[in-house]
Amino acid sequence: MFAAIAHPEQDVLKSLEMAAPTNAFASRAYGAYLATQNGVPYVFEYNEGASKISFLGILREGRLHKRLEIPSAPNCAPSHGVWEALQQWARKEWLTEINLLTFGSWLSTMPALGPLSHIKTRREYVLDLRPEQPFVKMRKGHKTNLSKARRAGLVLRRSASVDDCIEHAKLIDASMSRRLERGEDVTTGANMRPLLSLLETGAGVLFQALYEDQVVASNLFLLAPEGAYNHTQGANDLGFEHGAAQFVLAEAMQALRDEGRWCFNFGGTDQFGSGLEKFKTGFSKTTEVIELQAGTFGVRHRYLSALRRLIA
Amino acid sequence: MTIINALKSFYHAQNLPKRLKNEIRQDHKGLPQRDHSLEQAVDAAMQWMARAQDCSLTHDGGVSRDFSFINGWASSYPETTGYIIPTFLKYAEGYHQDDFRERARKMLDWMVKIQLPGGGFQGGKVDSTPVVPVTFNTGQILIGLADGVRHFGDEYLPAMRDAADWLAQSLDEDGCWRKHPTPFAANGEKAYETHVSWGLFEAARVVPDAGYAEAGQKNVDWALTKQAANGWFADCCLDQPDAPLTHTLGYVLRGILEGYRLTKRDDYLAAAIKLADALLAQLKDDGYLAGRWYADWTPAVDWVCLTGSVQVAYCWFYLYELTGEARYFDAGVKANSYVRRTQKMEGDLDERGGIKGAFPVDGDYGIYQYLNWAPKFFADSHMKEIELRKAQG
Repeated sequence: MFAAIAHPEQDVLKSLEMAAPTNAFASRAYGAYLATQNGVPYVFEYNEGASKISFLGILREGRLHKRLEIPSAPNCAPSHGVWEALQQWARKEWLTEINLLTFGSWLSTMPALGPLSHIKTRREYVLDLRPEQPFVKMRKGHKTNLSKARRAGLVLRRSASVDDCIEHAKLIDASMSRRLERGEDVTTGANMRPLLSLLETGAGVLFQALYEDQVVASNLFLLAPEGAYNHTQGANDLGFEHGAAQFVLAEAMQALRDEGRWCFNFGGTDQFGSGLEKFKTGFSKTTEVIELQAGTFGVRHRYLSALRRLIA
Repeated sequence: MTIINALKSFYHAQNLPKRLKNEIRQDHKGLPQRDHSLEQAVDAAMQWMARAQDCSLTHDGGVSRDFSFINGWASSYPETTGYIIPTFLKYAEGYHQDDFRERARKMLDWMVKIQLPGGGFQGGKVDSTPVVPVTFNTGQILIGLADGVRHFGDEYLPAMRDAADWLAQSLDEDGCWRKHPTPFAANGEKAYETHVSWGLFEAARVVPDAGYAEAGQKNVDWALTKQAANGWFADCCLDQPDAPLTHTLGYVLRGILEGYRLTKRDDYLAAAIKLADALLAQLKDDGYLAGRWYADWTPAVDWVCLTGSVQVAYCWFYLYELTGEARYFDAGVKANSYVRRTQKMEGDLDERGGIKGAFPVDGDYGIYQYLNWAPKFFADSHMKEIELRKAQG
């Protein structure tokens, strides 16, 4: 049985969260965050016998499009009934597109949800923080940077304030600019509005490195009851010089582990073999590399969909 | 390298759209002889800005940043939409153009919608990143919000107060704003942020006892430490502090004059006169004023920054009002006339009434573009000239 629940209540979100306690894109707070964004938040539920699949989505409508975005696709085989049910619902609702994303997901093979207009292969990096020593054979560069940071007296701060969010957005931009200068393909820009919504709804939290009272590196982590996801990060030149990026991650992981958040996701990349990938995998040899796919599927022609909505 | 650069320029020039090539050719023939009345010039500039509001790619009530000969219309530009508001309201009132009042209201509603938590406003176009609050842009929008409160009442007061509070609180102890620089200009201190103080002075007129005037004065005091004995300002440019644009010199001058208007402090008037006189000494008989200036007032470029010329013209008119010295009035008239002769009154609607970034159009300020703030300052200085001429009878 398939159910699409628009504007889900707390009990629906709670049940979603309990089903995936390590996934920060399935938390109650993340559901609350989606409700602050332009669009209608949904929880989709699919029951087959005793098993229940549930996941979040947001429906966005424009003049010509009606697009469903699923931030964290459920990890179901392409033959699983949930996909057919989702496709049927999408056709019934006259959607133009389904954007199936795989943040915090384990979906490695795209299901057939219609004509595929775009597909992306990507990776995420997950570290189990439960062992007493979670950082196994840390890269030499990371170790050096951590020592530099501690020698420089960097201090870790946890925050969700507006001012610190502004600093976070600025540091993302500083990092992006540095990567652009290195010739990397960087397309994302920092926008403090959604970042602040993540903080205000409790879906995320900032950990920042301070050097002489100045924020030099900042990470925003999305939180799940038993997990955390490294959403965005940035460091300025001073932070870069003092190993602040490694410092924030290492210290934050310790703090999150102390709170019972043992499943740590470093976030993803589609640039395999890049410096970013080396950075994410450099904290521990035990970091698991998750191969993922994300894709966009066509459902109904946008003109037909728009015409139907016009008539309705 | 020179040969390679010349070849590059030649190749680049060959690939420009035909319309732009014609424009460059025309501009390099010299300033057109055509001229039109002050009233016609104002009307045409206002109509161009109204079209820029309608043609913004983001269709949000804001005004398109520019019309480019290469890319066409752009998305809305919060910073300049902010200070375009008073121009629309003045035109609506003074020229009985009610629809411009409604257009200003649309801009104000958009400003309120895009205000960031904390009170600041983003830099760049509305779809640019990073989206973080920026001092300069917030100050320019504050000018519009304060005028919005004066014309429409308290509806825009909370947004105005949030922006003014944010600016006042983020000012450094010495009077310089350093915490929230724009990501779209070179790093460093900016003396031209007296134009931000102007926003605070306008807010102080609406809410007198909130400390806005004091904060604005503190910044102007700091900016005056950047003034040289010959009137020139250090650290007063977007990207080339050793040779500031007439545009940014116009900003610093207006900010100081607005400081004087509010406080009547003689040192502000003296500093403004020092800069205004130095610029006046460089003005040619036909109204030509170079677009950038070295510290000894040697022109750094041969093109004209049209926006800067009319900004300075407004300030000269204002000094004429304050001092009664005819030389300021004459200088304003000349500068206005020069820029007016670049304004087209016929042809393509995207160009008609608009004012280019530079003359000739391939000058290095707003290159190949009609900028939305150029007709704003143009309309302001022309409405001022009309007002003064009427007063003179």
